[in-house]
Amino acid sequence: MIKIQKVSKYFSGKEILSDISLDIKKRDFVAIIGPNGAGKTTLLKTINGLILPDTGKVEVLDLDPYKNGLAVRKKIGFIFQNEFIAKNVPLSVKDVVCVGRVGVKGLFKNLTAEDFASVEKAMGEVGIMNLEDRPAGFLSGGEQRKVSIARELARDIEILLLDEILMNLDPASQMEINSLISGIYKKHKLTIVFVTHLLRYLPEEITRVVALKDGRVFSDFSPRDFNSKVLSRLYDVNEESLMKYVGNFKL
Amino acid sequence: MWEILSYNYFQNALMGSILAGVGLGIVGVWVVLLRIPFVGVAISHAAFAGSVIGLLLGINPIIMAIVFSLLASILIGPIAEKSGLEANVIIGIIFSLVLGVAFLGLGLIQGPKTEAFNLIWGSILTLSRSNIYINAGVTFLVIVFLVIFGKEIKAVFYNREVAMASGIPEKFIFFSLLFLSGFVICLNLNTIGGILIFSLLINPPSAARILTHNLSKMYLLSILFGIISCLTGLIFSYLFAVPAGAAIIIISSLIFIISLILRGRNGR
Ligand SMILES: Nc1ncnc2c1ncn2[C@@H]1O[C@H](COP(=O)(O)OP(=O)(O)O)[C@@H](O)[C@H]1O
Ligand SMILES: [Mg+2]
Repeated sequence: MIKIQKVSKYFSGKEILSDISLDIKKRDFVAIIGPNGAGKTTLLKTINGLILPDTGKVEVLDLDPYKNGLAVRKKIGFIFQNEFIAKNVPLSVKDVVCVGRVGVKGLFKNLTAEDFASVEKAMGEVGIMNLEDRPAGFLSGGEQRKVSIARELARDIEILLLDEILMNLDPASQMEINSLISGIYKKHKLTIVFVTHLLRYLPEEITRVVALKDGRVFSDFSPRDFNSKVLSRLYDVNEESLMKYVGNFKL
Repeated sequence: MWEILSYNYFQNALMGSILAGVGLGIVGVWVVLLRIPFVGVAISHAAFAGSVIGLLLGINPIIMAIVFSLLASILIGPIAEKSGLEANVIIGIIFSLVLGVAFLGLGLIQGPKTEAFNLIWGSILTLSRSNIYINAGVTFLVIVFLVIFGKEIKAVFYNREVAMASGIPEKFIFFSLLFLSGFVICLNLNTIGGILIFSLLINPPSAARILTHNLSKMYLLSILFGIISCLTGLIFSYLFAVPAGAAIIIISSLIFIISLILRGRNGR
C-alpha cells in the first residue's frame, strides 16, 4: 500500500531522512515514534507527496505521490501536527468538515446533497453534531482534533496519516481521541500511520511500532516485541529512569 | 443637482465608484482573510514606481503602472514559496524596493511629474469610458473566479497546508488570489488613488467581518459597504467640493466604526 524504498531527504545540506525503507501493508496500523527532529513529519509528508525525496522511491497505491499529488492525496487523510485555524476566518465547524469534500469533488463542481450527507455522517461518527454551527477558530484542543478527524473521515480515504494528534490534550481527551481512532480503524478498513510520543496511550489495535532516530529506521517491531531496552537506546536515556518516567508502557 | 447625471464624466465616475466598491469589496475579503492587507500598499506603490519609470523612459505611464503592479502581485507568492518566508515579509521587501525605484525615477525626471502623482491621488472625475470598460472586465473576472473556485478558496482560507494535503490545487488558488487582488488594486488606482485605496480595501471587509460569521454574508456585506462608501463619497465630494478619495475614505471608516458599535451592542 505504501512502499518507501531507500528514501533520503536533505534540508539545507543536512540529511533529514537517510536511506529509509518501509513497506506498509494494507490494514497496517503503524505507530511511529522517535525523538523530536527524527524526521517523522518529513516522512509523513513524503508519503502524500508534499515533499519530494532526493533519492529513493515512494509508491503509494501504486502511484508516485509527488507526480500524481492530487490523485494520491484524494485517497490519503492527513492531520497535521498543530493545525492552525485563523480566528479571523469566518468558518463554522461544518464549513471545516466540508473542506474535506472539496478535494474529492474536484474543480468546477459544487458540493451536492451527497457530499453534505458524508459530512453529516462524519460529524455524527466523531460526535460533534452539537458543534456544527460553532465558529471553528474558537474550540478546545480536543474539539479541534475531533473536527479534523471528521474532516478526513468525510473524504472516502484509504490511508490516514496522523501527526502527533494527541499533543496538548488532557489525559481524558487523549483516551477519547485514541478510542475514536481505534474505532475508525476497525470500521473503515483504513491503513493508519500514527505518529506519537505517548507510549502509554498507544491504541490497542496497533500492529507495528516503527522507531525513527536521526532520519533512520531505528527499529521496526510488532508491539509485543517492543521493550524498554529498545526504548532507552532510542532516546539515549538510562533505562531505569526512562521507565520511571514513561511508566508501564506494555504494549 | 440632478442635471449632473447627464454629464459624461459624472456617469463615468458613478460607474467607476460602483466597480471599485464591488472589486475592492471582494479582493478586500481575500487579503483580510489571508492576513496580507499590506499587499494593497505594496501594489499601489509598485504602480507608482511603474508610472515614474514610464515617464522617464517615454513609455505610457499607465501601462507601465499596470505592468509593475502585476509583476509585483505575480512575484509575491512564488518568492515567499522559494524563500520560505511569509508572504507579508515579501510584501514588505517589494514595497521598499518599488518605493526606492520610484524615488530614484522622480529624481531623474526633468519635466512635469503630474501623471505619476495622479495614480497616488486618484482622479475619479477624469475617468474615461475605456477606463470603465477595463475595470468592468476585471471586476467580472474576479466575480467569475470567485463563483467557479468558491469552495477551493474557502479551503485555502481555512488552512493552506490542509487544503494542499487534501488534493486541492492550493498553489494555483493562492497565487491567483494574489494576482487578481493586484490586478483590481492597480486598475482602481486612477479611481481612488494609491494612498487612499488601502482603506477601501480594508474597511469594508473588516466591517463585514465584525457583523457576520458567515463567509458568503461577509462577501455581500463587504461589496455593499464598498459601493456605499464610493457612491456617498462621490456625492459628498460633489455637494461640498471636497476631494472624492478623501470623502470615500471617511465614509468607509465611518462604516467600520458603526459596525464596531453595533457589534458591541449585540455582543455577537
Ligand atoms: N522545510 C525544512 N527546512 C529545513 N529543515 C527542515 C525542514 N523540515 C524539517 N526540517 C528539519 O528536519 C528535521 C526533522 O524534522 P521533522 O520531520 O519535523 O521531525 P519530527 O517530526 O520527527 O520531530 C528537523 O531537524 C527539522 O528542523
Ligand atoms: Mg513532527
